Amino acid sequence: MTPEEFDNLAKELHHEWESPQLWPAIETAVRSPRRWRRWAVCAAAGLAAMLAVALYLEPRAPLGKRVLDGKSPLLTEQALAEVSAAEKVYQQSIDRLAKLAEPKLQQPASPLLRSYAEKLTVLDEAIEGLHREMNRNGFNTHLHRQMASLYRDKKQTLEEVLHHD
Amino acid sequence: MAGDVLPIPIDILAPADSALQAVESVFRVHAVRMKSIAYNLLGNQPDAEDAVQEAFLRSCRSRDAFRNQASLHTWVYRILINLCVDEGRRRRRTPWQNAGTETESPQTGADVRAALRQALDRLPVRQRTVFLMAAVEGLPHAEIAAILEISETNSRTLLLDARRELQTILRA
Repeated sequence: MTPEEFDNLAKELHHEWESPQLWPAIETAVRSPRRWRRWAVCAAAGLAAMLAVALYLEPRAPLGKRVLDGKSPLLTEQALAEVSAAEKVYQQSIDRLAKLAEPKLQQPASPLLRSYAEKLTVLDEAIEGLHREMNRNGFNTHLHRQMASLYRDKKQTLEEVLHHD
Repeated sequence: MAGDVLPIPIDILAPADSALQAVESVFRVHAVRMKSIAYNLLGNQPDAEDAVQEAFLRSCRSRDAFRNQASLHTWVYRILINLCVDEGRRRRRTPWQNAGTETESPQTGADVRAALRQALDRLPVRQRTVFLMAAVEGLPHAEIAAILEISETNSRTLLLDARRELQTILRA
């Protein structure tokens, strides 16, 4: 089955049927009064009041300590340098893996290898885009996490390519 | 007037009509696709309709949904997917085990569709969901990413993984 045939087959799984009573049933259910709602609102209000009191009474940590608790999304300069160095080594090792897989991917001998090659292209494009974003804002830990996740996926895909006969 | 108590409207906790209208417009545009996704995840029309109905009810009953109408449909899709996945886990049985007994006309390709549905059941839930939304329903990856709260790249790679897995299963 060619990729085109497969895509056409997938579209055939779309299933349609008439259900004229569906929206009226939803509307009726939404409009029907629900007794527990008043209780829920009262309970929520009570809970919110208790939470407000608890927050007011909680001893507050100094701002400096709160930032150093590690919950800030921004990395310090030294930590960033360490992360960048570790990332570079990791990325270089995956690039070496990519070199090993290159002959198989340049002329894929099967649809499976073509699919792997396509996935690696998607991952490489995403990695490139993320690199650009990180150049603008390298302190954002979320970007570093995303990058690590992409490289993990790339490593796994390359391993599958290398093990594919 | 002093001493008078203002009456509390009985319907004060019901969703406002404007909010209901917003949900209805989502229903008009997306219900067909939503039913199809639920059908493919649950295996029959009544369950699919129940799931769609519950998804819309839950979205109506939470006022948070109406704060950002631009993402309302995304939110309803997310509720629906979660409902179907939970229902699938609860049943502990794959919906298309008896795919051959579905009321499908014995036309050419029916067997292949049944085989594809059974193969889909063997995929991890994320891959299956992305495949149904992207390859079957034609939703763009940006939208799928927003619904499943994943990155667009993740959506793309999940689709490629799903396609590859399915082709491998079908070839076996």
